[in-house]
Amino acid sequence: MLAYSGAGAAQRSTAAVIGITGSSLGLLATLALPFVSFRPNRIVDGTAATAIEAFGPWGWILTIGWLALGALTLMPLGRFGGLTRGVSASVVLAIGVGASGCAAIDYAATQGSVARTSFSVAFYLSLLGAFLVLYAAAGQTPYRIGRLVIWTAPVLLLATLAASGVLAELGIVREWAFAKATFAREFRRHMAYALGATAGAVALGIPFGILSARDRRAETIVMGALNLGQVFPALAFVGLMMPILGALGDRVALFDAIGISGIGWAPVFIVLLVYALFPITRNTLVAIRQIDPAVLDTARGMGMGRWRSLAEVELPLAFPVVLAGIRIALVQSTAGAIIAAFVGGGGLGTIMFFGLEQTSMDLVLVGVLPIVALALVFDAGLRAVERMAGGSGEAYA
Amino acid sequence: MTAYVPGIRRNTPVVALLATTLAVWTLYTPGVEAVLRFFFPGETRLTYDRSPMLRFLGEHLALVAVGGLIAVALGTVGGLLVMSPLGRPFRDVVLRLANFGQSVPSVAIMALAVPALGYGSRPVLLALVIYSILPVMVNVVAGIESVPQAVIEAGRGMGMTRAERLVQLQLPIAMPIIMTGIRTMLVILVSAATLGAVVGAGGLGVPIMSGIGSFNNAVIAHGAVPAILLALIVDQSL
Amino acid sequence: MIELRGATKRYDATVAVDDVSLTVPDGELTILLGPSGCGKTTLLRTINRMVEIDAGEVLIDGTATTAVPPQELRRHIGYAIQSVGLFPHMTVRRNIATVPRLLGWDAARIDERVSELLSLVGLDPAAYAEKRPNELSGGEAQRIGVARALAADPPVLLMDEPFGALDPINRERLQREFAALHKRLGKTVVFVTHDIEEAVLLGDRIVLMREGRIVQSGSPEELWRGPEHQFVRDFFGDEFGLRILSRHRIADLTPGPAPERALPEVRPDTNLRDALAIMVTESADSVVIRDGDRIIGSLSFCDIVTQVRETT
Repeated sequence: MLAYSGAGAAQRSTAAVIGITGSSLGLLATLALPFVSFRPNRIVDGTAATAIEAFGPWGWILTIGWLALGALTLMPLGRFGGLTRGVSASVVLAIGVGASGCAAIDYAATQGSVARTSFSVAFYLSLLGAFLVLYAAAGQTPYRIGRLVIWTAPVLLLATLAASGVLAELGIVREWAFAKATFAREFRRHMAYALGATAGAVALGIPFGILSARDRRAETIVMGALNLGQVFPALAFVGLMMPILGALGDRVALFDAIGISGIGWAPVFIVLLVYALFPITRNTLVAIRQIDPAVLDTARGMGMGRWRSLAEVELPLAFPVVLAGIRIALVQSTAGAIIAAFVGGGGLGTIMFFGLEQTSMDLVLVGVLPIVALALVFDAGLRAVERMAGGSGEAYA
Repeated sequence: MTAYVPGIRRNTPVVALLATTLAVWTLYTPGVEAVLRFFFPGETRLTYDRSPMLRFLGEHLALVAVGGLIAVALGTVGGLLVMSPLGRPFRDVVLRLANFGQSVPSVAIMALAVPALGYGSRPVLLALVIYSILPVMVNVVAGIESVPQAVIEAGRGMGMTRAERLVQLQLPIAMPIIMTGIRTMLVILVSAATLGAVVGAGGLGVPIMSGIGSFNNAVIAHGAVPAILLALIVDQSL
Repeated sequence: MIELRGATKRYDATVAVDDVSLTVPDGELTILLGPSGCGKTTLLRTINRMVEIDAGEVLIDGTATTAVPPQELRRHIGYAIQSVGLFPHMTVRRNIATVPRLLGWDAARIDERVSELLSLVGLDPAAYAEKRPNELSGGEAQRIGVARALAADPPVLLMDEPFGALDPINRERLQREFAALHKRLGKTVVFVTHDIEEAVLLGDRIVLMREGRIVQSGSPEELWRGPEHQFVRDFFGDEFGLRILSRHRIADLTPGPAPERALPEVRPDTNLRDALAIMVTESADSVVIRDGDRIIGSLSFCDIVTQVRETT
């Protein structure tokens, strides 16, 4: 992931520029802006504090950490430079998170369990800064295993911190702990929406794509309809689906039996499915069209029939691009499933709404961060599969 | 320079039809009621009557227009910066970050912006801008990269300054691709603006959500239809 | 007159142009010739500051090219490249009009100039002025590229393998037309190519380069008669003489009396190489020269071979 960009002077300076921007950002944010905010309870406004104010000596350690990171970016470090810088960035990030956790524990000790310690601007900016350093470091690491280490290090360090219990009093963690059972249930439902809609879109979209590739009229109809569907605003689309499916559910006993009705999971699922059909169908269509006619000609010349040609030649060649379409659909559906909460369909959006109602941004984050994390995981995972299948791992279109 | 902007593929008859339908739907309530009564015979209350639909349409248009203008301005500047010698090291990172921004649902950004910006249209505008900078920027970058190197070389060799090359060569050639980005962005904006109702920004999401909340399909349709029409109009007129 | 004094250009560890000193006389077509990577294109581009030299100076008519901003310099130098780089979103007319517009010419003058130039490069203004680049063939595009380079009537024209991307027939046709154009306009042209045939056909003088340095420069005949290095001999090869022959015509030589027997005919403006080719085809050892309805004399194979060395 995030390919090695080469060892030339231009690439080295690009990496250095990005790296120094990231570490400067982290340093300045940590020094000058509020890192955490303390609230005695959820309703009152919080008091913001910079890292040094809030963490005492650890605040200084954090600041020096960013300074050191900046120095590392500028020093020539040789073969393992990328790895060193990347891992160092993860360590500095972990220090920030860990110190916040400790400050939260201290604060909760004085205020009781209703107290909330939340991340503030400086934390998010230093997160961005760390990302830039990691990105630059990955660009300088020629071996895939090195890049894997760079990108998994922050996750591992975070997991270690979590396991050690130091994060237990952070606002986000407290809110999640309270809502654990609900969270687990809605998380599962959210995954079901995303994966289900994508799976359905694969089952329908690939045949549609093949059909459209072969028949211009089919292409006009199918792509015309899907283009139209893409334009529909999500909330309006789901809203209209409700009476439509309600009516269908009333009239068709089978639908009623599986639970398709105007309320619940069905309207959201159908809408997500229609949205997901677009990238998959389009990519299948384009991928098949792109195949060198000479290849198809040879296949026919060898005596392959239509179906065999499809199965043994066209689909395998089209596979990487189709996979890219599936990736886009999955990431899209993961973010899009949040809309289920608007119609009582569950999913992580419900948690976000709880947070809004209770003015707890930490609870909102408990709903939103998993969506973002899932999207990133799906994206990175599928890109890796694409690369193995021969694709470039880059987004198509 | 003619008035023709390359990349705009206006479909006038369809747009006219859609716009007329939208106007009628928004302004002529008895007509709307008749239609809704036909489709939803069971409902006692057919329309959202606490405020005229025109007001929601107006709020919606305002959100889309303001958000769109800011996003186009920032997206174009961002795209040009990233293509300039100063910003070139950041090209890949910025595109990747913008890509990541697409996987954060717009509603989430709205919700998170509330503590800082309060309820109302401001968090929605922030979310709209963040969400739609990507299509604009990606297309500005793609558009400029689509200009053949020979053209730039020839332009430079003829004595055009960087600014002259940008205005006379790069932007006109990039325009069709940039317009595609703006069109995509506006459609996304119409959709995202419906969700703004959730943080009190008004717009066509209000009647839709009211209908959902009161299990009234007719009211849902009353709000959903103009939203869909608006999106289609935007899509077909650019 | 273009003068380069000790021009040097380095890229990281490689020296693309190595302390090159060269004078390009006014009105002549000077060819920069050499194998790939010899620095000829880089050298060309130092003249209009598309490449900035690390050491040395470049002077045009005695003034250093660094004395004016680069844009200013380039607006008075014609520049035609292999891929032409016609602006795809503009008509042919607006393409050609680019530099005049940058220089602030008025519309009437520009229109007149566009028509003039299209005719000059052999295209009908009425038919071509409003076309778009994507409607043009390779040869047409290249002609318009040349027209565009000449638009503001610059004293100097820089050309980088302009005919390299064309098919052989078009390439030959455009080469001959350009040779005629150059005779007519008398501009100072610096022309980069790696094609020996083209160099010998067009060049008043050839500058042979290798690895960033000039190996030898002179007229094609000078290089043929007095190659200073083995490289020069090897580069031009055994066909050099034949190629030189195509630069000269029957009229340049002194004919002998016309014998009684039947001989193939040539005209005074037939080039010597074609004359030899005719002799081979017709299995004749001489040709007879016809000018209109008179026979002027004859030339034998031996005559041609011996006279060429003396007269050129």
